[in-house]
Amino acid sequence: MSSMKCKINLFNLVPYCKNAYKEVYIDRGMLVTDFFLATIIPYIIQFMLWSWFFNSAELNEFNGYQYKTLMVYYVFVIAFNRLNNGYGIVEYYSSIAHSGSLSSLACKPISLANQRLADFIGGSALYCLPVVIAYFVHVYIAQVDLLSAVIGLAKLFIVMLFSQILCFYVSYFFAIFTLVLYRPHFLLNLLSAFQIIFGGVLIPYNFWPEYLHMIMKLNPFYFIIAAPVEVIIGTYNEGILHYCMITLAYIVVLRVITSVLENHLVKRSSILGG
Amino acid sequence: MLSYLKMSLKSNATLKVDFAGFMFVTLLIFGFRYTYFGVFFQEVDNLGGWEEKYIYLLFTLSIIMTLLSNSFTYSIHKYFDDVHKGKIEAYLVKPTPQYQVLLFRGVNVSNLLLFFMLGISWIIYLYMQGHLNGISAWYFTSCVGLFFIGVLVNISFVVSFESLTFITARNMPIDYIHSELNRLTQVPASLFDIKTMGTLLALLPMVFSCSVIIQFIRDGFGFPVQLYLCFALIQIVGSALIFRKLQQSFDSHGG
Repeated sequence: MSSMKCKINLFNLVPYCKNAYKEVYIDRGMLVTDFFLATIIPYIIQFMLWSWFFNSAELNEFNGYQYKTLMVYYVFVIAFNRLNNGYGIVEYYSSIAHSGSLSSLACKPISLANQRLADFIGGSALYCLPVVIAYFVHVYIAQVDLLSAVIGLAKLFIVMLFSQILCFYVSYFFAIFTLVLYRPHFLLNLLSAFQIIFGGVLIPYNFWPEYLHMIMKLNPFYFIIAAPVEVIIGTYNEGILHYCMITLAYIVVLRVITSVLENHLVKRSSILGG
Repeated sequence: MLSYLKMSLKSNATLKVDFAGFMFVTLLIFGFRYTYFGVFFQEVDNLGGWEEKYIYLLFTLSIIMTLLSNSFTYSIHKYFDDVHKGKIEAYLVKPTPQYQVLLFRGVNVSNLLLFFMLGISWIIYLYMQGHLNGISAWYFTSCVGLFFIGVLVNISFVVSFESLTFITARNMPIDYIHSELNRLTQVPASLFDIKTMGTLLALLPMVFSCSVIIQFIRDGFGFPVQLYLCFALIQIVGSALIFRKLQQSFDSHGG
């Protein structure tokens, strides 16, 4: 019975995915702007700084990264940062909570969290493109054999899916607090700062001072952005299974926490809109 | 103008946690970014020929300039959001000059307060460390002048592109484009090759709005600073003309 219910729920989520996908696809101007600006500018900055650094210091390797590996790391990490971006989740939750439409969405047979998860995955589908293109370019340049390339592609889709779901629950955790804080600005700033700093977008975790290594490697943001990239480029020593297990554990814990917290805060807040 | 500022301050003051949180995040980013640049200086003593102290100065200037610019770009975006929704007529018929409505009606007071707090603490720090000793009034005024020209360049970039809403009636993602391009202000100008630098100076002077102050401190009022001022002036005047011209074509229907 429960597996039947699960199947029905999953089937019911498809329209949410489709609608979100169409919404992003229709606004192609924004999509192109996003592809170019959110990926190319951060990459140009890193490229300029690190090129100077490696040339000037005459180093072959820095903290275990050669120049080329580091540049590949940045290509993927910046593309993943755009793919796993929970900004919209917080913004949307805040808008529905304060326009008074939260109750009408929450009383549907599908839970609000699942509605938003399906919407998030559908809306992110097109943002997989830069990651996949980067992967093919990487495989071509590194002259990887066909079998390894196919296995790598399968790994890529697995890590993208896991990181997407984890990103959703982390962002949803932040989003729930708009029921208390009323405005989303602080939460949005905090979320994007955590993604950039703890997600490894600025630098790989082992580039930070040693006392920060533990925080940088065990926080959920690392498993949303940097860890999937390390799995793809082969610098994640523990392997993909380890990555999936930890990510899954985070997802389960956050699913429970968000569910309890949401119930508690929705009961406490008086949502009349405004 | 003061009434607009007062209203924005009241609106922001009601949400203290949001403001305190915003300050916390800004300081957090500040701290981690400093550590990020510290990684480079483990192995090299300069970036693009600029010593460590200039790179930190560039970064601090970039943060402070962003805070001040964004205080106003927030208001500009709000203005054009009303244009997009067809709600701007009420402000067009008021006796207040349009530039005041554009810049001050929705000013982001959190950013503005943080700008004053960080700016003042930074100047006090520089004074205590003795970095301001022996600096002439003209030299200091020039640096401050270049800083405010940089703010104007940022604002004029946003105004000139947002003004397209008058004819397209669409909500333009200029605030997003601006914040992405603004990241380039943290890159030392000396890392750009001469052709790229010339092109960017002509098309996007805002990219060098912070670097040019460092350039002035290191090399004085040289050719790059003069060229920047020239293009900055063109952009500021151009944006005012674009705003005025496109506002006249506005049909007030929204989109």
